[in-house]
Amino acid sequence: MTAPKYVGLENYQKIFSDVRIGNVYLTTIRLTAMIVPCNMTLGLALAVLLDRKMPTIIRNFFKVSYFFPFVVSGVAVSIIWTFLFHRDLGPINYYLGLIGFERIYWLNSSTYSPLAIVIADVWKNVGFYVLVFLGGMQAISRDFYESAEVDGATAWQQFRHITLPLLSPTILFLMVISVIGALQIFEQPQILTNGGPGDATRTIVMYIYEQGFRFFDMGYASAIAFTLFIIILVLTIIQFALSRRWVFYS
Amino acid sequence: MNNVTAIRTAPKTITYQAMKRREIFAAYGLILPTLIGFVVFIAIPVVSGLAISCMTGTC
Amino acid sequence: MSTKASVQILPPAVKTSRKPFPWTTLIVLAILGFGAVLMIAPFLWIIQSAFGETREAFVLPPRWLPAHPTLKNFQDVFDQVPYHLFMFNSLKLAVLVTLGQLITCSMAAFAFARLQFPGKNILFFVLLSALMVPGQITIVPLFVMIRQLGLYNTHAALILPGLINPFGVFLLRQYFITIPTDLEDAARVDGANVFTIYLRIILPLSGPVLTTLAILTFVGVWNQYFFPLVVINEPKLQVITVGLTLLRGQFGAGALGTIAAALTMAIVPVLIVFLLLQKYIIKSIVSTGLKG
Repeated sequence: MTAPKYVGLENYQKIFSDVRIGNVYLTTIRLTAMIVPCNMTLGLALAVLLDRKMPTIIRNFFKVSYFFPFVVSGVAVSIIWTFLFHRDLGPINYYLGLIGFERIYWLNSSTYSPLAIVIADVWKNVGFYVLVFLGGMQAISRDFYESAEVDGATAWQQFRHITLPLLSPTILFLMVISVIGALQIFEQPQILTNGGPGDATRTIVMYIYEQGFRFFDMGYASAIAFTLFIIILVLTIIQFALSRRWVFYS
Repeated sequence: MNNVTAIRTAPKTITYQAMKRREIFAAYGLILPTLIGFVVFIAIPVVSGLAISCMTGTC
Repeated sequence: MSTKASVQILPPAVKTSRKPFPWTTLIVLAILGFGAVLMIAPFLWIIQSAFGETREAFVLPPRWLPAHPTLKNFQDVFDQVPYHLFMFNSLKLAVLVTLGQLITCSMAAFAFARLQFPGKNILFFVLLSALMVPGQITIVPLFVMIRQLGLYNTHAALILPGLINPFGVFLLRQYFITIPTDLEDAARVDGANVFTIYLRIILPLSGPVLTTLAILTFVGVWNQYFFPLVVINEPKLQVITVGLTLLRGQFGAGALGTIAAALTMAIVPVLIVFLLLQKYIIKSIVSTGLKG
């Protein structure tokens, strides 16, 4: 621990000479690029299925079971998944073994550990996407579908030309909050892999935590935090700007 | 006391201006906790975060 | 799909047409059911491990009911860490922060929704700009400030910053402006002041949105991890999320049973409350799009 001293922009220059941070940023972006599409497409697909005719009690059962992991803390969920992913004793490798897979080193291989984090994250959060999509779909008037059916539109055409356009504000909203959320992912990698092996799953917020609260270099941690802040801000603005092209507000 | 014709307390009136002024005071009072919290726990940390990012060592 | 054609060859019935066997519905239900199993099974497995003997915890294929039920794992949890304190601390913080936010947010939201005062729009805009600042960004300066105020290792460090919530103000304000002004005007004619209107008219009419804010805040505080991890160092003051990681740190990944017992104690109360209030909880989180 040393006394604070004014150093100008030195911390920001340090970012460019830090050999680890580029990798950490890349990891964070790679995780975001996997987590967001997985949650969005899986959430949308499940919502389409849930939107079909079925007894309310069955639909409610599905809603509750998909949504429950979302209200459980990320810490508890991540600890559960460390057991599920256990190399020798975990159920996942056991079931994969039954269908002929080799044992996968889920949490200690640089190939599979990002995938493990994505799986755990999607498992926890997908219910949120399902229910937000479902809410958006149920707000679409049935008249559109009825007249489309009269015109002989197939189920896919109805989805493509009615559901998707009318759902675009929901899609934009979920995309913005999920990108912001994924760029700040912390608990899952911290608990599942602790950033390892090496820096293979170290995310930017974990790096801020490490620099600020392990190495007590708070100036540097703050500088990194600001770069993340700017990136999130710029991405949000870009998403909204691009949305003018494809978001349809009825 | 003998030859008083009528004693009535004047009806409690309040001018429109006074009422407006009271409302403004009340409004500031109501947002005060949030405003203080915002300044102390969001605005100052953002600004001091910028300041800290220009320092070395443990603050 | 393919059965449809063959069925329609039948002579036209009085009703439009006889329904073909619902293959698609069946497939849809099968997919959804499989998904539901994937969501539920890990919890069941953890709960059964909590009640099982240590040596059977890692039996494969996974069991769904313990062969020799025991409470020893729960005993082990309390022998290792003050888990009851973790749970109590989390509950205490969640209750206090939720109550605090309900008060501060409803006060500010009322002013922004129903009163006229100079600077109203600017102040509201400034407050909303806070929504653009993710919590992780201010963690370092907030930590420095908390230490300088002498609040490091106190619950005040976790309560005070939680007492305000710009999003909560926004949420309540959006609801308050939809309440018709008739009642309020009538009350004003009768000489009611703004506080009477706030307490007697606006708040009683805002049950649903106040519930929403309460649920969001409570779940958020109960699940928070990063901030307590940073500002609390004393085990007795620790919250349940960090407590779980402390316990795991002491045991390593080997002691499934003990950690499963702790997880069960963390999850089952949430599960019970969730099942009781699921309608409100789902509606609150989905309608606001807020992550806990």
